Amino acid sequence: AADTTNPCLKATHVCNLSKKCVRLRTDYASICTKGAGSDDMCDHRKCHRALRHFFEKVPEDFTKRILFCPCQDELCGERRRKTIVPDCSFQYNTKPNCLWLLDSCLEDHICKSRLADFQQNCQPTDMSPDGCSQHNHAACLQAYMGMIGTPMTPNYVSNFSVEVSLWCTCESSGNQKEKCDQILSMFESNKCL
Amino acid sequence: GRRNHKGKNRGCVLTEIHLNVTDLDLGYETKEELIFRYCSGSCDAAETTYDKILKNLTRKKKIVNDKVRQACCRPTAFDDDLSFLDDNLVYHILKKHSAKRCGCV
Repeated sequence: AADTTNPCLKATHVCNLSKKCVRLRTDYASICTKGAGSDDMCDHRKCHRALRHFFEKVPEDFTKRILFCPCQDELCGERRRKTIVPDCSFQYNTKPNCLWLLDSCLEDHICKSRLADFQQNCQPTDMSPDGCSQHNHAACLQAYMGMIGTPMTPNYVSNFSVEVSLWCTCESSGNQKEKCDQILSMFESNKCL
Repeated sequence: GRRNHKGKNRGCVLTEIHLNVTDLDLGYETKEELIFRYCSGSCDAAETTYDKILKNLTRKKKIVNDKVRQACCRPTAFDDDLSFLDDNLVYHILKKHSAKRCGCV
């Protein structure tokens, strides 16, 4: 019955065989889709907490497969992008400045430590074959998943590519443009990631 | 969970089957799959005195009422909710859709 042409669907099938994976996926899906349809009704904090539980408690084998499944077509890519229920966990009415996002992350002790982890493990370099200065691509992916469910939740930007980003912009950053671009570039166009 | 009383009604058991969500015929269009668990088996041995009396009274036609039933093998608890993405990539949640424990009730 498995549709072998869609790796993201296949990853879901694997999750459905694990009671824990099914349970925690359902937990976040029901919390994050509550109030869907009406304007801005979902509870971002609860949704983020449920997403963190999923990525913390479900073994990496399952979560990595679901989030980093390799796609060839749009349907697969859309499934991948929608994994974290971006309508509630990622996109908001307005795109804030990335430095504002950074500030809210640094005020949150979980986000602060996860960001430090991400910065350390996903530091890009041209020198190594995997593009990671720590030579540990797996640790970088793990650290990326750690950011999901924090105020700095990253996600795929489209159904057509593996590019990821934050829900923020560096427009009108004034004299802090450079600092802002630096934050954003850790997620966008990061060789290691 | 609670064992069937002293080996009685061993017939009523939890069985599982691997299905496509579309096999459930609930109107969803999706390629996702699930494990569905259901209760099946006989409850003939599950008799309480109440059941015996009912059986006897029905046999003797002292009561003629269709709505009087013997014990049935039914879920006594349900599995956790299940979420899935449909073909339009919208999440749906199924509740009380699959058995977790069975009993003759």
